[in-house]
Amino acid sequence: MNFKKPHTPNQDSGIRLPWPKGLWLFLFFPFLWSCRPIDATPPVEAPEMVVLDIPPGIPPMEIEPGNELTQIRVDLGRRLFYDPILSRDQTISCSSCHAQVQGFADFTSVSSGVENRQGKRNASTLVNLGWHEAFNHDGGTATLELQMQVPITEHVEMDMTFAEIIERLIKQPDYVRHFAQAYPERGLSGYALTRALGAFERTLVSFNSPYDEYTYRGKGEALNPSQVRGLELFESDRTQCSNCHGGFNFRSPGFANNGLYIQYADSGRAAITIDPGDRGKFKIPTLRNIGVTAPYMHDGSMWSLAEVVDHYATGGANHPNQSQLISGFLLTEQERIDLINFLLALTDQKFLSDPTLAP
Amino acid sequence: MKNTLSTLGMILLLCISSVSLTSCNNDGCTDPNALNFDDKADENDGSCEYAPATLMLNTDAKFGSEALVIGNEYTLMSGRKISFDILRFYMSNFRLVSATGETSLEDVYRQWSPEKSEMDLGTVPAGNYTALKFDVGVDDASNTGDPASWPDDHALSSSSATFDHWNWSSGYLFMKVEGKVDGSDPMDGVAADDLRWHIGTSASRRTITIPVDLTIAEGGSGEVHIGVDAMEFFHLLDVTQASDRVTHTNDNMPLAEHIANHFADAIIAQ
Repeated sequence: MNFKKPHTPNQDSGIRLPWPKGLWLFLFFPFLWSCRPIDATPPVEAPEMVVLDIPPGIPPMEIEPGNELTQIRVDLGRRLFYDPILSRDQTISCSSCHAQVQGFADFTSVSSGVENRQGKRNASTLVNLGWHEAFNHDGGTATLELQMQVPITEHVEMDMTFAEIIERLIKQPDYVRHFAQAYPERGLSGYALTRALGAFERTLVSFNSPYDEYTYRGKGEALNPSQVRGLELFESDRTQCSNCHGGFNFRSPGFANNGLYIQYADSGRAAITIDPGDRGKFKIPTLRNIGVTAPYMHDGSMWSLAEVVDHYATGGANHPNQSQLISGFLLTEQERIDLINFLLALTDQKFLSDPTLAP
Repeated sequence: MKNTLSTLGMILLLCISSVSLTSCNNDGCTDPNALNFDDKADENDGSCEYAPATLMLNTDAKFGSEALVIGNEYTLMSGRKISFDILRFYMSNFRLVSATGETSLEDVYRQWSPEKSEMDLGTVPAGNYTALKFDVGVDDASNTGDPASWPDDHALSSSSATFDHWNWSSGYLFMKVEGKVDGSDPMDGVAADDLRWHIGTSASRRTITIPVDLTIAEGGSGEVHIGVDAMEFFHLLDVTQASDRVTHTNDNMPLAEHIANHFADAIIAQ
């Protein structure tokens, strides 16, 4: 056996090259090649992330670890959001009751589920949900991923089970592939279904209304004088509006009875807590895009902002659980118009027509 | 000095060879339950290695003295007809009780229904046990958690075909019973009234204790046999009353509590 190496006296010096430069590079090729098999895994490319359009001054949105907003997850979620495959008779999708032009709300008081089954509450607007701490009008679900399991499985909504959805999706190789790419560890699963929908719904962020331009981007001209006066009224002790509908999402955590009725057909929060003191209380909703999300209230019983403002001005029906903050106020006709004009300044036209949120 | 050493060496060598000469015995693992059982070994050298021991729960679904089958019609003590479409409950927090204490079967959740006559409870430590305990229902953390986060083949997964859960308030139906009963007064012999017991919330969770005389050897397996007798729930119930036929727990707490209090009568050792 001969272990003698070929005589290459200058190989280590790196100064005097016995061979042409090109040949030297050639020598290194085997080393470059061998790096890959040692690593076993190919270098992972950082997945493309969705960047949310959030102005400075807004706290960061909390994201569940493992469900960071990659483009592929958001794309999968959007696909599912618009796909009627999630409903029993494959006639309705999430978007049937949450339409983009309506601020991801519905134009009827109470939406219809499969076979025209009627629910009992108004479909909520889906906007800036990543900052909410409770979902559904009664706050029965604590996360967006838990919330979406309600409409999917409710008898009067989509009336499906996860087992059946997975059975359907598994027959579509393109979906199976999409799930595997978006969630390599779980693939097509109940987990990935809820997380993908959650990822998409977290991209439903709206911070481009005239109010946002005025407040967060310092564009004084974004609100007209009537709207500026309306903003002042909104935040005044006279109306108390912002005490409940405050902050960057025009809402506050918690539930309130806003004095719609003396007797509530829908027990609201009490359905969850079984506390009579919670009867007729509902989640305080956001007012973002309120100009396009009519009808209003948990039961969709009011059709115009004027009607809503007038309701609060009269002080409500005095239900025992009614919020103390609702005690009535007197506005001049101009002030009433100013307040409504301000509410219309919460409409984000960019959000309502953003193609990345469309099917 | 050198001599002494070599003498000692000789003695040592003799000793070693004598040992190997006398031990025609084959050392090894002589336990057939062991993974490395050596059938040529006749002297156990303590080298046995075992797969974890396992526990099976065998169950019989019954209605009184009859075997309970979903869809079949049975007769209550009162003579009223009854049939079941669904009869399921979640089981969790399994514990094996021995003289030295309790061993928890970590993260074991199961859902019982009449078809599940054999339930694999997974691996358990070998030992002598006097009781098997478990809860009907699920722990608070799992009850309020996200059922979609479990693997799809997990008993608590939202992807399970028998997923019993109140989606709108995030809680499991610890027990779900649905069927038909003759609730007419006077009875007309036709089971036509809805029987619907949806039992949940932490107040309805109950611990069941099954006394056993169970020895599980290393690498072996144990079996516990229980019966689930649905007739037990009907003691003192008046099925002519809707309030004794239908509960979703919060809307009819007395019936939910009655059912929960009878878990221990219905689920017993066989």
